[in-house]
Amino acid sequence: MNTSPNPAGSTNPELIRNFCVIAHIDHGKSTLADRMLQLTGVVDARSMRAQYLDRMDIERERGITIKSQAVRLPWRGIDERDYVLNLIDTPGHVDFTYEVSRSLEACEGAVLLVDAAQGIEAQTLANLYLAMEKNLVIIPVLNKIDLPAAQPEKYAQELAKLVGCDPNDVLRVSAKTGEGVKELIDLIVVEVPPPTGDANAPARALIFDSVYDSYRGVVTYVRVFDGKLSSRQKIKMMSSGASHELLEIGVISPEPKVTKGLGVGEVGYLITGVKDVRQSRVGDTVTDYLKPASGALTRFRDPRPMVFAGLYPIDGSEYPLLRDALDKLQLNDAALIYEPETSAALGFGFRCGFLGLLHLEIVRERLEREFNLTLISTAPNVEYRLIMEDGSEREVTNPSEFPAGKVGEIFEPIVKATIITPSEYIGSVMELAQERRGQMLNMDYLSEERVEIRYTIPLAEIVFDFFDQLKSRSRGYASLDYEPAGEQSADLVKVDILLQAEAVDAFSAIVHKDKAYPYGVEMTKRLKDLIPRQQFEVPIQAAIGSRIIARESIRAMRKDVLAKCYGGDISRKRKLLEKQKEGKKRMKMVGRVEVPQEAFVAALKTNNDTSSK
Amino acid sequence: MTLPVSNFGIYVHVPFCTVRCGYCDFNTYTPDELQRADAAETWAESLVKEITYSLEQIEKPQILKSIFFGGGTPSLLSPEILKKIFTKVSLEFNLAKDIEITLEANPDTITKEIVKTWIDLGINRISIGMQSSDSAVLKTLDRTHNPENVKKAVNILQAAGLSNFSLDLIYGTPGESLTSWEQTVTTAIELEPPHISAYALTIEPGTALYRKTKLQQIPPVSADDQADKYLLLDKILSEHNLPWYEISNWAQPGFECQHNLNYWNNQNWWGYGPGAHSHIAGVRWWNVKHPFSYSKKLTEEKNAIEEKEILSTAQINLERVMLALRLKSSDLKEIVPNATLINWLREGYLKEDLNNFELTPKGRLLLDTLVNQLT
Repeated sequence: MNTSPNPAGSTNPELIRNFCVIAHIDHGKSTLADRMLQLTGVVDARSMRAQYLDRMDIERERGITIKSQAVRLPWRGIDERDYVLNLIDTPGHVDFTYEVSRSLEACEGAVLLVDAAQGIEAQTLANLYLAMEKNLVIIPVLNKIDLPAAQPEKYAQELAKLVGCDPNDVLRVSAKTGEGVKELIDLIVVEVPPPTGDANAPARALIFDSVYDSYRGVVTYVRVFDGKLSSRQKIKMMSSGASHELLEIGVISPEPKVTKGLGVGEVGYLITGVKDVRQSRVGDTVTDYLKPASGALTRFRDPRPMVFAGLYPIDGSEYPLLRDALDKLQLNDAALIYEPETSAALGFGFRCGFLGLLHLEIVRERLEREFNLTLISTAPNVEYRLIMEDGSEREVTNPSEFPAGKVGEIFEPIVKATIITPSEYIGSVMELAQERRGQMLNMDYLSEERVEIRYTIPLAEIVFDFFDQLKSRSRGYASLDYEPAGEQSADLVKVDILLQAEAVDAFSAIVHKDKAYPYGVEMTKRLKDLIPRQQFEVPIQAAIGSRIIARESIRAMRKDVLAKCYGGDISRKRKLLEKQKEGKKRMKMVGRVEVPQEAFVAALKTNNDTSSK
Repeated sequence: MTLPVSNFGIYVHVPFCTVRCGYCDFNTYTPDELQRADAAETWAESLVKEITYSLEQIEKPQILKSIFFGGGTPSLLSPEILKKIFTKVSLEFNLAKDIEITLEANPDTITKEIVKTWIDLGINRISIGMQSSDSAVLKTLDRTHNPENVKKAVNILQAAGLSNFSLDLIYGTPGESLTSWEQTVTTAIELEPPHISAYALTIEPGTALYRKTKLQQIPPVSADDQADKYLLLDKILSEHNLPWYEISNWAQPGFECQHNLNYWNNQNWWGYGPGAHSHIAGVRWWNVKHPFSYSKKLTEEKNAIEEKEILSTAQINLERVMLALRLKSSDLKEIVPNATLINWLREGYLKEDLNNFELTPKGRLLLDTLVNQLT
C-alpha cells in the first residue's frame, strides 16, 4: 500500500466515501469492520485480530464500542477507479447518543447492520432515525445469514419498511465468513454520495471524537468540510476560541500515518499537544486561526450528565488515589464530571455525573481495574430542580441533600423512551411502563410480530433497574432506547433509611410519593438480608422525615465459632479466620454496623435473589 | 535435620469406615471405595515406615505422653494390625508411665473380646461416637448404630475396667428438636461418662448432607438453634460435675483429654497416616490424603508429606490466640488487653472469678468474633 493512488491530503473529494455502521451490540459491527480491513488490504491476515478497532479491554470484553474511531480504506470500485473509504465507527450504546450524532454528521451514508436472527433493536432504530434526520443515505444490511436461526426474509421486510425500500434491496452478508462483504463495499461506493465542500473557503472541520493518549496527548478525530488543514497550521476551536498549533496531522489506516494535511471530505486525526479532551471536544468545529470561518458546522453543546452516583473508596486512605484516577480518566472522557463530597456513612468521596448507567458502570470498572481501587458506588439517581417556597431555585444531585421542607415544586428529568418488543410481550411491557409512571405516546407495528412503543417516562424510573425488568418481562427480547425530553413537575419525597435509629445518608432515595411505602418496605427487607448479623441487634427503618414507614430488625448473632479442629488440623481453622478477616475488608463500618458493599447499590435491583444468604 | 521436641504426642490416622456418614468430610474411605482387601495391612506397613522416617527427623523424645487413634473408625482395626503398630511404637519411643492412649470407637464395634485386646495393648481411653440418642437424628447423619448399643458398649468397657471414656455428641442436626437434644444429653449423663465432647454439626461441601441442603431436601443448620443447644448442654453438664475445659469438651476434673490439650496448647505432635497433620517446633505439615498415595509416597520417597507450612509472625500470633481462647485454663490476662477485658466483661462474654477470667457460654459461642478483635 505504499504507492497509494490517492495520497492523503489531496484526495479528490469525488473519490471519497464517508460512511458509518449503525448496529446494535452483538449484531456484528466490529466483525464487519474486521472483514473490511482485510478485504481492502490494510491489514493482512497475519496481523489480524478480532475487533481490531476496539482499543480498550472493556470494549473487547463486552463487545461494545465506547469511543468511535475512523479508518481510511482504499478500494477499487467496479468502475475500476480507486476510491477512498472512511469508515467512521459509532458508539453503539444509548448513553452516547450525542457522540453518535456527531459521528453521523461526519458521514454521507450509513450502513444499517441488523442481525438476521434478531431483527432491529430499539437503540439501532433510534440511531437510524437520527441518520435519516441528517439525510444520510441508508444501506440496509442483514448480517449473520450463516446462522441457522437467521430469518433474512422476515427481517428484510422489517428493514425495507423502516428504510422505505424493496425487501430485495436489503443486502445479506455474513461478516463472519465474509460472504457479501465485497458486494457491500461496492454498493457503498455506488450509493453513498461523495462529500462536497469549498476547497477555497476558510477551513472547517468537525470533531467527532477525541481520545487521550498517554504518549501523544489528545488525539482529535475530524472530518474536513471546507478548506484544508495542514501540518504546523495554527488552528482555533470555534466554541472556546482557544488556539493550538497542529503538531501532527494524519490518517488512520488502521495505524496512524502522518500526512501533510487533510482536504475537503477527508477524515483523519490532529495532534496539538493538549493534554485534556475537554480542550478538544466532540461536536466542536476546528478552523484556521488567522482566517477563521464565520460559522460553526453544528451547534456545539456539552454532553450533559444525566445520572449521578457517589463513588467512595472502601479504604478511606485511598481517597487521594481515587482523585488522581478520576483526573486521569477525565482526560479521556469529556462527559465525566465529579466533585468531592462527604458522606457521614461513607467518608470522603466524589459525586460523579454520567451520561447513563452504562457510562457509570464503565467508569467504575475502569477505576477498579486500571487503578486497582476498591469502591463503593451509591445507588444512581438523577438531578432534581427544586423551586423553594421563597422562590429560590436549587439543583440536587445527591438525595441526602434533598431539603426536608419548604419545597414548593420539584422537577425531575424525563426521557422519551422507545421500546421495541415482540407483540406477545406488549402487555407486560405496558404494565411495566405504567408502574414506572410512563405516558404512552404512540405505538407502531414494525411487522406483524414486532411493535415499537414510545413513552415519556421519568429518567429516575429508567435508572431504577428498568432495563433489567424490561428484559426479564420480555424474556430478553424487548429493547430500549431513550433520549432526554426535558423535565416535569412531580410529587416526590425523600425516603431515609436508618440503621440503629441513625439515618445513613448513602441510603437516602428520592421516590414518588405513591411508591414511598412499598419502597421502604422493600429496602428494609433487602438490607436485612444483605447486612450480616452483628454482635448486637440492628433495627432498620425507612422514614419520610420523622415518620417511620417500614421497619425490620437484624437479630444479634449468637454463634460464630467453628468448633472442630479436625485431628490437629489447626491450619484449616486459621485459614478460615484469615478468610473472615479478608471478608471484613470489603465491609464498611457505618456507626457500629458492618455493611457490605453490595448493600449500597441494593436499591438498584427490584427483585434480586437473596435466598442464597 | 533433627527437630528438638518436648511434650510430645502422636496421632495415628485410621482412614477406614464401613460406610460414609452423610455429614462426614474427614479423610476416610469405605471398602467399596478402596476395592482392596489388604488395604488395612498395607496402611499399617506404611505407618511403620513413617514412624521409622519420623525418628530420623526428630530428636528422640524423652517421653511419649499420649497416643491417639483417630479416624475413620479405629475400632475396626484387627488385633493383629493394632499389635503391629504397638510393637513398633514401644520399640521406638519411651512411653510415659501415665501415658494416655485413646482410641475412637463406633459403639457397634465394641465387644468383650476386642476390649480385652485393647486393654492388653495399653489402650486406656475410649472415645465413643454416640452422636445422638435419637434414631431419627442418627438416620439423618447416616449413622448406622443402634442407640441402645451405646449403653451396652459402656457396660462392656466398665466391666473390663476401662472406665476412662468419652461420649462424643453432635448437636444441631437438621430436624433435631431441643427436646430431642436434651434427651440425648440426659441419656449420655446417665451413663456417667467422665468426659463428653460435643460438636455443632457443620455441613461441609462435598458431603451428602451438603447436597441435600442445596436441593432443599433438608433444612440448613441454624446458628441460633445450635446456640440454644450449646447453652442447654453446658448448663446440664456443669450441673453434673462435668465443667467445660475447652469450648467443645467437658470433663470431670482429672479426665481432660491430654492428647487434645496438647494440640490446643500449641505443643508438639507427629500425625502418622494419610492426611494426618503434624506440628513440631513451629512447623506444620500434613501428609498426602489417599491411603494408596500415602503408601506409594512412603515407599518411593520415604516420607508422605504433601505440604509444609512455615508460619509468619502474624499467623503464629493468630494461632496462639485462637487456640488459647478455646481453653479454660488459659490466662486471659496474658492474651487480652485490659481495655478489651473490660469490654468483654461488660458485653457478658467474660466473667471474673477469684481474679481469674473465664469465657461465659455466650462468649464461647462468639469465639471467632473475639479472636478477630485480638488479631
